[in-house]
Amino acid sequence: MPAVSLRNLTKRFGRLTVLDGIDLELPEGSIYGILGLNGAGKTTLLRILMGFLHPGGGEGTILGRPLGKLTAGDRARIAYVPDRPVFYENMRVGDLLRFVGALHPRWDASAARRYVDVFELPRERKIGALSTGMRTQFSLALALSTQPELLILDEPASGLDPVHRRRYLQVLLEASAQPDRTVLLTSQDLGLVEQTCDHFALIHDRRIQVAGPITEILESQRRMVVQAPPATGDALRSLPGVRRVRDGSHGFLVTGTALPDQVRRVSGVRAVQAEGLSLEDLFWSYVEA
Amino acid sequence: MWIRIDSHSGVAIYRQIAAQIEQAVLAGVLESGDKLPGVRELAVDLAVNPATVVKAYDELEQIGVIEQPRGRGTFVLGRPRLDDRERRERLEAAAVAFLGEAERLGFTVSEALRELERAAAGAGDTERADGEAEDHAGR
Repeated sequence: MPAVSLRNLTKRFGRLTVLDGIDLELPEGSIYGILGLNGAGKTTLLRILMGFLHPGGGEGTILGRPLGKLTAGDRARIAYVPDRPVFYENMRVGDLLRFVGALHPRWDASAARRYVDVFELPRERKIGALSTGMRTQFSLALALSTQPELLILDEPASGLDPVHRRRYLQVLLEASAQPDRTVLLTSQDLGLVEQTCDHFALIHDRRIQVAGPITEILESQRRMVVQAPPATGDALRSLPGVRRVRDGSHGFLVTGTALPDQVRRVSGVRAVQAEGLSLEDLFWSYVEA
Repeated sequence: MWIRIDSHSGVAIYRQIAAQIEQAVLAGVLESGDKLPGVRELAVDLAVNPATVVKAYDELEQIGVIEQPRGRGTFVLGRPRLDDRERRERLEAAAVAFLGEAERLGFTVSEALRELERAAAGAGDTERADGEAEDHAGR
């Protein structure tokens, strides 16, 4: 059973449509990254999943429960790490751990101690005095200590220096290795998604443009340097499986699922050289198309 | 490990991992029989998704650089064994990279090809070649 399943989800704010017909399926145990530009609706999608917002249309399930009908017990199986975590600023780190530990039914105190040690968080310091990086790490430590089946992170590791970012991602990956734990994160950081996730979806222009296992999608698409006269452009653009054609000084740069042999058969084409795509190439080919 | 991931290089991460291990084997840094770290260990060390390491190891196994006997680990076998198609693909990839660089520098394909011929003929010193051309033009 997928951890999250959405069908035809739509969200409008007044006359503004933010999400339009979103279909999404998170396999159990996956680390799923949602990519999109600022304002693409990534955070709105997370807020709908968490039940903070009502979807305007469509349906879905989270951990087997219908969207918007989560009980307190269901919610305890989900942890949400916001972009900018809000804490009780006057509490000390150790006090907040005890406080959350007393309230949360799934709290693992030994895991909490381990994460606080790994991140070298000062137990006696007031939360208001923690650095931005420490707050980010503390927020992940709290979420993981509740042993979530679904961990949702909005822009994880943003604002961390390279050393802390690496440790943060290592902790996240290690904690995500449990087969019954699913991770959903949003990011504008293509490198982070390619590095940590096994699945991704790209939201652009209110819709999901492409979604699925990252390596499978990267292997099903390619970028081709096509040597052909300028008049060939239209024929290349109308070829099935071609998503983007850019004019170069001596030909075209073609991106899509079309195979080199199909492109070679277009009349006028002299030579085709194919190369693999990175997630970054793929992202731009959709966003700039 | 000594593997470095560059998430902005434009090369898929599993290819970066596979290429660096292959380079290490070609350079003799890794030798036949050497044990490579397990999938989870390397994934956590590099802070990458385990599926990425699995994919890199599978690619290396396919070209005979490593073997993964079930449950015993991952070992270096030797230099890559490529079939004709794979050799062809690698040559093509190198050609595309070369032509791409030439285009970024503002050269045409025929200029790039002339440079390749010049390099192959052992006359890779372009400055001298250009100088000679100017001499001829000046006369």
